[in-house]
Formats: sequence, C-alpha cells, structure tokens
Amino acid sequence: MALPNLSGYLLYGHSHVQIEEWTKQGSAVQFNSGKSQRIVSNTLPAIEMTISYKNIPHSTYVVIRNIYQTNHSNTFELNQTGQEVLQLIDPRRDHLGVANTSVWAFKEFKFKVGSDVKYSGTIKLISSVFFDFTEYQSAFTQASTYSPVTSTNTTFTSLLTNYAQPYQVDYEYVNNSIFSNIGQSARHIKDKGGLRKKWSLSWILQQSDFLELLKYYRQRGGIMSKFGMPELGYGTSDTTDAIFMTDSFKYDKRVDGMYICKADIVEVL
Amino acid sequence: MSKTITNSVRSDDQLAILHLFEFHMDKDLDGTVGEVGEILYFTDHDIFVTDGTNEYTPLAISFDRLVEDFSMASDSINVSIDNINGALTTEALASEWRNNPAKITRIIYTPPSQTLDSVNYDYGLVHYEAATTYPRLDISSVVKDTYVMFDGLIDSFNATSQALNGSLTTQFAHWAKPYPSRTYNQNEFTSIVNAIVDVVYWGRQETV
Repeated sequence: MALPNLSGYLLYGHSHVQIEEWTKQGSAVQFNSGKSQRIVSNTLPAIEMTISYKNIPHSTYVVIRNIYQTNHSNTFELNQTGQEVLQLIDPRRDHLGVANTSVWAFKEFKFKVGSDVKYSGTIKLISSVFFDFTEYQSAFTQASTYSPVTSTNTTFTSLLTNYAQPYQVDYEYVNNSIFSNIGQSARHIKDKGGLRKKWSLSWILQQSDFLELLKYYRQRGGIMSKFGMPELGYGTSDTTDAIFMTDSFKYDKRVDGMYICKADIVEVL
Repeated sequence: MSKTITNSVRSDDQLAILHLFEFHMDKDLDGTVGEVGEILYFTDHDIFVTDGTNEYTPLAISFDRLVEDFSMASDSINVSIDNINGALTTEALASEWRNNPAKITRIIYTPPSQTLDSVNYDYGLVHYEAATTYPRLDISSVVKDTYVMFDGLIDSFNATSQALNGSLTTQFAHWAKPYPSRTYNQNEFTSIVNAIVDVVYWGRQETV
C-alpha cells in the first residue's frame, strides 16, 4: 500500500514503550435522578505511544532521525515485522481487519547525546484513522519535506572545536505541520513546510573558554547573525545555517571559577 | 423540519451517536442540484459509515449547538469542516453551494456486543462491520433512532487553510415571517379578550 511501514526502524533498539489509551471516546450525561448515560462518539481505541531508547549507538540514532525527517508530516504503518509484538497493544490490526489499519503519526522527537556518544531519547506516536486503503487515502494527499540550507561559515565550529566543546547536546525539531483529528486519533496531516532542527547545547567551561563563547554569543545573538551549525551539535561536519534562539543563552558562575552554560540554537531555512 | 424520532428513544446506559452530513452542490453550475455525484456525504464518525445507500466519508466535522428561535424553529447553524490540506477549498470554489440543500442527521444506536479472541465485549471494542475490505460501519442493519437535526439551506461559506466554515439556514428563510410576532397562552386569554372589547376613550378607560 501507499504508506511506509516503519516497524523495523522505529522498534529496533528501543528500551521501553509507554502507552496511553482512550478506549471509548465520548462523554457521559448525568441526569437529575443520579443515573448517568455514556455516549460514545468515536468508537476506535486511540493510542499514544512513547517509545524510549537508551544509550543506542550513533548509527541506530541516525536511522531513526532520518526516518523522522522523511515522515514527520505523513502517517505511516507500524505493523510489527518481528521486532516487537504490537498486536497486543494495538487492537486495530487484528480486530479491524488487516495490517493496513495500524496507522500512526509522529507527535514528538527528542534525543540527547553525551560525551560518550551514546544516544538516548524518545519519540511519541499517535494512532491515526487515516487507514492505508485507497478509499481513505484517495481524497487527501500527504507529504513530508525537509530542506536544510548548507553553510560554509566555520566561525561556530571553530569555537566549538577550540574552546567550547559541549558535554551534552539535545536534539529536537520545530515542526509546523497541522493535524486533523477525530476524537483523540490523528486523521491526516498537512505539512506546512519549514521543518527545522533545534539544538540545546550544554557546557561546563573554564573562564577563558567561557568568555570566548560569551563574546561569540554577544556578537551573534541578534536575529541577523547566521552561522554554520554542525548537524550533530559538535564536530565540524554537515553544517547548516542556524541562529541562536532569542535570549536563550543562560549561565551560572560556580565558586570554583567554572561556568555552566546552555544555549538553544535553531536551524534557518 | 422533522423532529420525529423514528423509534422509541433508547434508555440504555450506553449509546453511540454519530452524525451524517449531506451537502448538495452544483458542480456544473447548471442550477440543478442533487444530481449524481453532486452530493457530498460526510460523517463525524472515525470510519466510513454506510446507510445501505450512501457512503459517508469520515472527516473532522463539527457544528454549533442547535438553538431554537422564537418561532420554535432552529434558525441557523454553523458547520465547521476540516480542510487542513485544502482539498475542500478546491471543491468549494468549483461549485455553487449557496442556496442548496444541506441536512444533518443524528443516528443514535446501541453499540452491538462483540466477541474478540473468545472474550465478549458488551458494547464491542471496535465497532466495525465487515461489509467491505476497508473499515466501514454499516448502520443499515443496526437498530437505531434517526433524528433529522437540521434540514435547510447552505447560506454562506468561507474557507481558511484549516477549516471550511458554512452557515446553514432553515428552509423558512425565504418566507416573509408568516408567523405572529408573539403567542399567548391560555391564562392570558381572558385579559386579552377584555383588552380587545374594552373601550379606550381619549387615552384612558371610559369609566374613569
């Protein structure tokens, strides 16, 4: 069918799955007599699934990240292909007919990496009723686009390499797409374009290194100061245009003279 | 406008409600509405719904609370239809909607019981009837109450990148208010007759 099946990618290497389920969606009406009547409006169970990963290697992270970048604004299938028995969690596959009903959409993507280059994070999925049948798909189109702008500016990567190596980088995306939903379930998604990476860099620095970083931030903190940001938040490779998020640089001075600081950086398209 | 409920109102503790929407359009703008392919069928249910004749497409669609006006009729109602991918904008601009019939029907039924993996669910788990290869609810064989909530005309519509909003008005919109400006109850009747037969003289009652 038309939708990609991501079970093999998203479930590989995960450590934990957290589920929230809305079985009977509707409302209850309370009468004066004390009796109540339960009114069901949407009759399919809706499921929000948070998949966690702990200390996965770089290569596994890159697969999940790429999958997110190519499917952030379209629904997809997740119908277990040997990695995990999902049919106990998602009753749609067995009880609503066939595999084409195990349709999901991305709601959130959050990862972090420390100095040990092990990646941990979560992705949040919401069940969708935009089933993978022509009857459902034909009237509506979905697409996921991502167009980062390559940068040749090396000022920030030099700073990172020479003075301010972060001890942790958090990854997220700024996603402009809008969902249509029926009850708690997603229906289909409109990609409004403009998917952007967002990094949060954390440092512990000596005063001299910190002052270099502070100086750079004060030079570049304005809205017109693009610089090249490495894709992974450290190193020098795959740099794309980015800026500091407004007033996101925060720092503490410790009594031992070290500085703890953090800044948010967002991609510019 | 019908307020008839086809069967007795059900008294079960658990009931399911879905709404069926019909919008007549004039796609070829020839002034003849309701021709084949010119009626849009939507439902606010989460899967396709068929009543045996027409198939209703599931959409995020909602309408304002119905309010009765002084004439004891619902005067107008606003409907909001999901349009996030703009598909309906094209449809709406290529057709004439205004002044065409629109109908909202409420279906009330008891969700049938279902046995899944040898376990019985009193009101079912996934309300789906395997009439087709794709998920669809067939309400033609379900015991149900059918309640025509609104039967009127499409008055106006506007579209944004997220929703298509329509205003529906009653079929009486074209009447020149053929109803009295107020009604009287029985208790008031005596005083009304008195008022009519009373003789008013120079702005005051004659006897004074």
